[in-house]
Amino acid sequence: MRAHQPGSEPIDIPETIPNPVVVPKPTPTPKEPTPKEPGRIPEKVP
Amino acid sequence: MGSDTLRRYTLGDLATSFAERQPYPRGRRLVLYDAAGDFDRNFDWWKASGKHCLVEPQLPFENGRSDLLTGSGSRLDIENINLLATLLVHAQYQGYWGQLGMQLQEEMEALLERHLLNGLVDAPWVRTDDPESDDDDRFFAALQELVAYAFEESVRIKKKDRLFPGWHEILTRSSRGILQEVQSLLQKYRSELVKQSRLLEQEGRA
Repeated sequence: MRAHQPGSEPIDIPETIPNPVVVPKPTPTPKEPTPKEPGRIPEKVP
Repeated sequence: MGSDTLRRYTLGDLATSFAERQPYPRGRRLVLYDAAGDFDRNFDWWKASGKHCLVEPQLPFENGRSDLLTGSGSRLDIENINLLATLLVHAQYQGYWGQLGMQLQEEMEALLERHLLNGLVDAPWVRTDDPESDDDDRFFAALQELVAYAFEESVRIKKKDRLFPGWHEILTRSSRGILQEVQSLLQKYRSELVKQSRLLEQEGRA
């Protein structure tokens, strides 16, 4: 966004309070990624 | 009122380089229309075609950029703005969600009327090229009244929370304050939009 455009920087609002009817959503806990199966390599049949 | 933060602005907070810029000054407002910035209209537009949806490759308007001076917006702010902007634009340009958008407008007007705030709709919320819309003070008086009402409601809720823990459940069944009503309204339209989108997707697959 170019600097001369309005809204380039968030404005500073002096008075803010939490909205009491909004229940904050719990932050999801990051999960460990499922381990990948090892790649299968074709083996030479004797 | 649908945000997770209630904000009280001063008129000075809303001053931008576009407030007095000629030939089309946008004044000091929360929402600035058509500020001539970058606007990419190459997005799919869901046009209403009877009961069906016709997907067009471009949005039906040029230079349609709008700026909202929300301060630091949250994820919920972005979701709410996207929802409301979609429904209102569809109502204005006869898009697929046009009827839902009109219904939202009617319900919002009724909500304001219940709280004796419907007169605020006549304030110049956006400055356009109409000279009648150029009064920053009239806009700000309306914004202040709305914000004061929301802050008072917030104090009332906090007091009730302290005196009668668990009153929230009673509140959802009986008469509710404006903050709760706005939350319910947004939730209703979000659910409806998602439900109808899923149906459309299923029809598309069939």
